[in-house]
Amino acid sequence: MKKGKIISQLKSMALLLILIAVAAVFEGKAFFSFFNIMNILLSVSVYGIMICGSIFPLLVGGMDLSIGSTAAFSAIIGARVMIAYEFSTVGILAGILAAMVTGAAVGLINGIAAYYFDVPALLATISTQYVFYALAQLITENKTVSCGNSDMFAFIGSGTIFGIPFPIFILAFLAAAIYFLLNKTVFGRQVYAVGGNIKASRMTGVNAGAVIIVSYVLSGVMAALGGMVLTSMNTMVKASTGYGYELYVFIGLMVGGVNFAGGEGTIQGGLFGALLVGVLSNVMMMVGIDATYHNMIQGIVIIIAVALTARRALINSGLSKKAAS
Amino acid sequence: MMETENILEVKNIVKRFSGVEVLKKVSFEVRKGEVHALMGENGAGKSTLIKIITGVYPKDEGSIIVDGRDADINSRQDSISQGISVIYQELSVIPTLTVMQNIFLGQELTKKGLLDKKRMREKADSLIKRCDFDIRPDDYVETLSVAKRQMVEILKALLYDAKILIMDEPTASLTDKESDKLFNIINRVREQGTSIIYISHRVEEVYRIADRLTVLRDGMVVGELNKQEITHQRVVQMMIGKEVKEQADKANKPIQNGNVLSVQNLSREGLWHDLSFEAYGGQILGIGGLVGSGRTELLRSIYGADRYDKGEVLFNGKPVSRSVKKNIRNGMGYIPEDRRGEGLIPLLSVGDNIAMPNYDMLSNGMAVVNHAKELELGEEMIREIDIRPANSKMPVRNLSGGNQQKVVVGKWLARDLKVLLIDEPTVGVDIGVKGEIHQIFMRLAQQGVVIILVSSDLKELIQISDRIIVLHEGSIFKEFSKEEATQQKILLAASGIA
Repeated sequence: MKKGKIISQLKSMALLLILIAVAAVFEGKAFFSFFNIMNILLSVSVYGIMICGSIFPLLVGGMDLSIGSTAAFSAIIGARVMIAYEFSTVGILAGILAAMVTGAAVGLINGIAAYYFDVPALLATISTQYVFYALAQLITENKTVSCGNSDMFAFIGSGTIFGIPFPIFILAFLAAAIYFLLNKTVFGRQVYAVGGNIKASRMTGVNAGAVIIVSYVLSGVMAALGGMVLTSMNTMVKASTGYGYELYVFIGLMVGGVNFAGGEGTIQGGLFGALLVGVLSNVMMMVGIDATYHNMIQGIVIIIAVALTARRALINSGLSKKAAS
Repeated sequence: MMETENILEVKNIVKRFSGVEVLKKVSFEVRKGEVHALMGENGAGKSTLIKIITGVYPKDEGSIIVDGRDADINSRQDSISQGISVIYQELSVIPTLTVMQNIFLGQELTKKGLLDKKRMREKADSLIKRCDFDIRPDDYVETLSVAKRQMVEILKALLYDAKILIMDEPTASLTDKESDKLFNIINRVREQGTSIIYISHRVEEVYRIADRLTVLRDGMVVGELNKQEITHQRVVQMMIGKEVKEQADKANKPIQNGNVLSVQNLSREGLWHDLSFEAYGGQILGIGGLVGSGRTELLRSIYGADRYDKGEVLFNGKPVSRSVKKNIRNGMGYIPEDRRGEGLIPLLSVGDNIAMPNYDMLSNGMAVVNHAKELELGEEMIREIDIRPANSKMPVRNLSGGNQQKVVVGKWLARDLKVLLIDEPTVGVDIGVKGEIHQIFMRLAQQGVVIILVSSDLKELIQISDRIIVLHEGSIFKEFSKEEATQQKILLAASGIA
């Protein structure tokens, strides 16, 4: 069991190393430059922030496909609040808070639909994806909301500390918090338990409904934070901000070995998956592969990476049979 | 007896997993047209042996001879083409298809590229007639009982021209009556000339249907018995390798601490009406009844996992909560019938499973887990009730049935238990572990815990209960003291006869 896990983690790692080796051979100096490494990390930071939330619905056996429009809708609300307070310090904080509350509300709706109304999570969250995309279009009248007048707000997405982009700090902080939540708290244990076997969890007194709903709320809050960072980076937000992000996020989680049937997976794995995809884009750009081929190559590498992780499940089940006999 | 020709010979099979020999030169033969029982405790190597015969695992040494010829079995497909079929404990029939569709799945008969339903129906019909089964080709499998689903599996095997049919614990989820039916089915299949390898823990049934039996222990064949040599004591002794003591009779009377759980006028539409009884601390109250008599729902209702329409459950005069969480806090525990479905979280480790209901003690205010305490609890339980392998980090899905059940029991032992509700605690558990689990329950009773036990295993029910009530059609039909109770009396009461 343990052995299988390590082997496959090594395989994914090896894939990353191969990519890095390719980059090193062709563009070694440029690839390993501090600037480029920061660039890669920055390019995956928003996805990473969203992964910190999206992992929860997956772990409890559901999924949240609405994060793209949750991010946009929440960030629009946040932007409106900031504009109303003319980007004062309090206004920016209030805006971020408003975005988080909005994200939480969307998550609550997803969670209630998935848990109480028994709508399959995939369907429930695709629906909310549409609904909140439309709502975002409605309240913005399909125009962009500009947030370009505040240096303080721009710092969130574009500022640096010791040359390190600020979003990387945000991601590092959130990742650490989520790691703690998943590994050190009773809630974390319950997340894995509910995803592993919801009936058995109930029989040990776990309030499975609450665990599932909180999971979707966390997903919504993190999507909102991702949306705010994105808004700051772009100095504006519109309904299509964050559009399609859910796919990238799920690819990261899948490549990172999070079990889509629930109950299994780590935050470090999910973030590693996102990094792998980020490095891939970067290497393709560096090596000078025509942009036309990027999507194709990306698709192929993702399949390989997922196959390597899926192989793990196979090894595991094989070993488990042996161990049981 | 016919000529003793062997359909299957297994010779000197050796299998190692990561250097450890789990099968040590295992040899046995199965004769044509016999029911050959393969017995052994969990971990004795039965499953591994079967997986080698059916090509799931490669063997390291030895040979398999089918019908006199060396069979080179390297895959599941190889074994099927050699005429070896397996029916696993978890049936593999597809509920939403008909009997016929299931039987022909993957080997459909066609005419000009289209399904030849007429010929398939004819063939299915003739097979069913030949075996004298009570099913029709067009019945949907989801409408059939477990016993009938097994018929479908058997038909499927026969369609593949199975010369050897391997049945893995086929009675594990059957009632006594259904088991009787299965034995008739097996007899009919045997009469068709098919040999059967019958894997079971239950000595009583092997006694009834096996022509011969082979006992495995620790990866070795410890003996082979012919029908007339099979006795309960002898088989058990071979399986566990030591003389079994008869269960200690409970001469040391448990303490009566005055704890009492009383169920008053409990009613639920379609299950029970005005059900009233009391269970006392220091006693095990057994509940007998047929499958479907509402026993499981009764336990779940007391526990707070199911609703009831009317009535009350009181503990020492105070109403018991209808919330599982609160009941656990107040000292209640529950061992569900469906171990894998409700008792365990298979992906999680032994330690995590044991910790599950205990986070009130293992964390500060239900927030941050005290990891050291958590680990300690797991290790402590592993030592206390001898869970094997003794590794708290191993996922429970990798454990044998008996050890999984110990984990389910173990998670309650750290608590200050007042009431323990137990539903079919030893299904699919081998005889050694069964005894150990009974000892745990009796020890808890002696410590003053109120124990309510539901079991379809009448021997078990009589052996460890101090008092037995029998449900029939939603009310208590009879009550027996330990001294009065016999299997026959309980069965008759459960059927509402006497």
